[in-house]
Amino acid sequence: MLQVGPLIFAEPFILLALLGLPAIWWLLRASPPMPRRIFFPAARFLQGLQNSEESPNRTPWWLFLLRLVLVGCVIVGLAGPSLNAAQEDYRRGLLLLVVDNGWTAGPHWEKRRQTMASLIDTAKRQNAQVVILPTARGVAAEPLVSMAPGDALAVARALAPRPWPVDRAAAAQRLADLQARGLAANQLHIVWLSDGFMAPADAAGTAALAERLARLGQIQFYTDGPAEHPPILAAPTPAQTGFEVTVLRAAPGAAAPVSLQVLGADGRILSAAQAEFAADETELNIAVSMPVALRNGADRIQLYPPRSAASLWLLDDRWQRRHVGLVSGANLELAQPLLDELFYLERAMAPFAETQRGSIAALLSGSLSMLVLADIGQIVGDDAARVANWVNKGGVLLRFAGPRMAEKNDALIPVRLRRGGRSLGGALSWENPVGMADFPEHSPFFGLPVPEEVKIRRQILAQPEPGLSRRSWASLSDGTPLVTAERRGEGWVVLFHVTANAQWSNLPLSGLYVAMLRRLAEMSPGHAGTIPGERHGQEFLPPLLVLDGFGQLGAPAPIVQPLPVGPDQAPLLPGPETPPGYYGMSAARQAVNLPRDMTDLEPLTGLPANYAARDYGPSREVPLLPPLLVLALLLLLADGICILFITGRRPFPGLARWKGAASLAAAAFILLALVFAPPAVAAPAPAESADTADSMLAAALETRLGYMLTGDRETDARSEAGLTGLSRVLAARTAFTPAAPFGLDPETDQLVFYPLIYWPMVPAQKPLSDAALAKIDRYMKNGGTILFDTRDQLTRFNAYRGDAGSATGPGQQTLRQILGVLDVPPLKPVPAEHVITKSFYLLQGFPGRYVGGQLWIEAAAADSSDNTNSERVSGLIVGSADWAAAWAIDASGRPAFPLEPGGARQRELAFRVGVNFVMYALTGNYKADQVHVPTLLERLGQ
Amino acid sequence: MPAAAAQLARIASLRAQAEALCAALPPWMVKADRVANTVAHGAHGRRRVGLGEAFWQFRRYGPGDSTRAIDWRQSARNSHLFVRETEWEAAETLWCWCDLGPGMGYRSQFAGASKADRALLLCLSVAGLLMGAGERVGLLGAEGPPRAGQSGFSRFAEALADRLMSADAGATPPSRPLARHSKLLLFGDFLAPLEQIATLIRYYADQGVQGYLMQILDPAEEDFPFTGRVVFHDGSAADDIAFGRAQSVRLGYREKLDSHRAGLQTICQDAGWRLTFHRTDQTPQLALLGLYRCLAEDMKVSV
Repeated sequence: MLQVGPLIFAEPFILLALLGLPAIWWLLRASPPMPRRIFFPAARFLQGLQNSEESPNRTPWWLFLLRLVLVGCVIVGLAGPSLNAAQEDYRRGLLLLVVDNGWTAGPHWEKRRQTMASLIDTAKRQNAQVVILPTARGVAAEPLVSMAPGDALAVARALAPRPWPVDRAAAAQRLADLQARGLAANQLHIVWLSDGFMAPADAAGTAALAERLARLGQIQFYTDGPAEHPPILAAPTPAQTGFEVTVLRAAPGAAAPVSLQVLGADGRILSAAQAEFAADETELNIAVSMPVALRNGADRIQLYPPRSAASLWLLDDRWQRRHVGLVSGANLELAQPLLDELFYLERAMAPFAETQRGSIAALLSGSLSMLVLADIGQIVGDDAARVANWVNKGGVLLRFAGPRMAEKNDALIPVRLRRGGRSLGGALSWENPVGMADFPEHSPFFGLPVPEEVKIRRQILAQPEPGLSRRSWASLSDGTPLVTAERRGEGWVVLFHVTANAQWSNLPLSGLYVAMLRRLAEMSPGHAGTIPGERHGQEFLPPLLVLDGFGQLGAPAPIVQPLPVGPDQAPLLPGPETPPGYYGMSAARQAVNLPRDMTDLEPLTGLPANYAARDYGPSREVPLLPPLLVLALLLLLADGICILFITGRRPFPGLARWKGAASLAAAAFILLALVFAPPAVAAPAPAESADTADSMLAAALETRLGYMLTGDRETDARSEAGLTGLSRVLAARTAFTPAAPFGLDPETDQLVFYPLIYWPMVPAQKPLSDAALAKIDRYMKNGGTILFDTRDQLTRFNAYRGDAGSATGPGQQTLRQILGVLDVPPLKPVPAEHVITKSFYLLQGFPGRYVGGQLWIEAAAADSSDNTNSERVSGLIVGSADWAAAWAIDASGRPAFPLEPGGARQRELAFRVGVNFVMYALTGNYKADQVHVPTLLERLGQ
Repeated sequence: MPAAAAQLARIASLRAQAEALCAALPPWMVKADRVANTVAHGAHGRRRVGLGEAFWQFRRYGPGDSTRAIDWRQSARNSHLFVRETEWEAAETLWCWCDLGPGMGYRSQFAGASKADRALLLCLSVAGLLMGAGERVGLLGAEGPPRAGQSGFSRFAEALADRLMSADAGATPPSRPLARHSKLLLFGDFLAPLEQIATLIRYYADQGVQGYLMQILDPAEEDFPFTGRVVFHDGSAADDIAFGRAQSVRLGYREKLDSHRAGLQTICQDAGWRLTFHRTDQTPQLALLGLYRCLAEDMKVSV
């Protein structure tokens, strides 16, 4: 060991090799680089030629210096220098590491492990022995042994935080053993890697350990920083809409955010909540709300990220939804399911409970929280005793009145009933149906708002007797009890004095009914037989999944014991044999969590005076060997390149020849970089999308015609001019005033805003992507109309389908290509009386720039004679007359293209065709109604 | 002796290559233009009357003609006597020589073969072609007269192999008295000093020998592509020549080489000889065609 300022050399003797540097100097100077010797027959001609530049035959000073630095680097590096090495002196002593590895160690274990490693490293350098004393209980308390540092490092690496608390009293005992064996006779260097906390239960043990350590020597006491208190998740309580969770921390500190997650069994996040510890608060209540349907799927609640065993709470059946059994006396469900009482009950309870129908015996054999009997006057046979027994053990029996109960009843009712009941507001009654009074304070329904519209028409009456008002949980506005209840043993018997369906009252139709049932369900116990062990008659539950010290669930170690269960079983203390986790079978499992009192912490006090406090920090020791060797390697490379230059060889002779290939490779690299650098590519996208949003807004705010951009500049300009001309005519002659037409790219633009899209066919039409085709397909199927214009009338657009060989124009080929990949319905020539011929003007033909030709529309829309089909507007109109050219106007409003054969009449007709197309797209079959007027008139005349 | 075996294998493979090369070209015949002075008789007609086997013309019998020369069959058709004359036939002699000095073994990374290999290949090809056409070809400096035909070609190849294996495969052609008007074909790099070459050429030109020089150079020798710190040596006892930046002397070297070539050209022109160039990164066919064209200009070629 040699220390030079902050530098420490592990093997300082190697530095003596630096003395050999002058010898290297001499060697390097003596041997210049060797030239190549080449046989050359024409060497005679070289004689007498002047060598204009003589390469140096001595090593230049800088190359020489470079080599000296290289050798120096290697020598100094091998001497094992390190910067900021720990200064402790453990020579001739024993390093005692006391490690708190209870559940509190989880969050900062990595730091603790690094500190351990660095301490053991120091011990290794100084040849000190090491003793490691973990304070959490292990499987078996083996006697402490002193280890060589290498072994100690392995032990320290294997050490992990435990999901149970530390037991410092036991640790003190083990330390005493160590002393007794005389190992502590050496000079002891004590390092206590502590969490800085103690449980109240362990305060005495902590004091004992501290005192014993203080007697042995000076303590270096490491604690986490003051802000490092791990949050603790206390037992959640089920609430109406999820769970209420309390998060604790051991000491008040600064404000800290807390993130909470409810996870399903498959690790899915079912719900999450955020909250923040206020400054100097140690307790935080968070309500996690989640859909009721998901609540039963909740498997565990955890603080995110889970870092210790206390940041996780495992849930089991006790936190799941109630099971409610439904039994009905009537069997209306077969005849009139909507009047069935159980139908109402099922609908009302579905949001918060698991309902099942069946016989009483079958229902009670399972686990049941609540039993609902709708209009069962008398529970028959053994069932009565069974139900009474179940209620005594904590079940909630809910009964509804009905015609049967009005006749006779059994003992399992809270109050004695009068025979018959009363009817309010009937035809033979003076009384009107009565509403409900507010709930009394002793009622579990207290606080629920009572709607005005709830009226009771019929009920059964309780015999007036003392204590009736105490037993009634709800009453009518005239004071008659509506819901009565009585405690029987552990459970309750509750009676609604009306039917469960809307026969006697409209209470089951109101939201109050649901709220009341929910309150009742909450009163019921989690499960009648809560503990699975009882259900299965099992004494021990095998471990299923156990927690580790970092709050992760994993397979249990072989040493984990089965969990004993039973009514007289004392609450379990988690330890090595029974760590927190799930026990049982995956279908019926029991969760074991760290008990709340074990997570109770207070700051560690009572340390002896002679301790030195330290913080866990990353080791500041920097070994310099790797960087020095890397530097030496770089210098070696530089030296090689320099030699190449000096001897006149080009370093990369092939470079010039491979320039082309190199640039190709560079281009490929850049291309790859572009592909794999989506952020860079995506950078201009926002601007584009903003642009798209603007155009979408413009398209949506005003109705306008659209045309497909073909990529052919001339065609696009013609389409725009044509639609502009048509828009002007439309504005002048019809009620439709379109805004300026838009050009559309099906790949990028939304089509939904346009009633009619003009699509000229050009031979250079590029194939459309699947997304664009889907968009077009959706557009046509959802009521949009596309006017396909093949513009090749002159090449005789006679048949769309047949005569494929006969004179097909270029536009027609493009059209086939496009329609071939679209889901196009069958097409048909426009019939003579079709609505498109009379949607605005009465038309005989559809001339555009060319006259004649056939117009095709969907066959389904073509059958105007068929009333059922005439609703449909054809998704596409196919023609060849080049209408855009006929409609096109130039800037001054004059026609831009000559017509064939020509004339003002033809242009006027072309405009009329356009107007009809637009009106057809906009109004559909409106005018088709008029088509039938003569028929109707004729029929009326008869 | 593995070295000798390797050389024999080399010659054999070169001979095979040469035969493949020859197959692409028609065997040619060289026609001597100086009939009267030709010593030996060859195998093809000289398009004039003389001793030979092929019929040339009938002539009226005149005084002084031997009666044995009268063609009786022809004379019987006519009232005159006719003498049958045959065409005079003679063979040409071509001497070949290859430089096989140490410099010829040079082969840079840009060349397909060493200069010596290329010279041997071309030499064998030309000899094969000419011998196939009935001309007589000899190897300068080897024993035995020039020969023709297939067996002659084998002898020629053997002589080349002998030379290749002998230690003193000289870098300069030997000076031998040759018959007048024979042809001499020299392959080599001719990088020796100009005076040396001029002396040799003058010696042969004075004998009335028509000569052809083919300078075979490696592309590296023409382009001088060397860079950086290089020491050059030519295998001789001369001092090594070192350059710190070889690329800086490229221009100077090219100038010297060009002036050397110009000198060579001047010497050849003075002697009426022909000089052609060949680079070893070019195909041998190119050189062979060049030679063909060159020879054809001097000699009439018949196929």
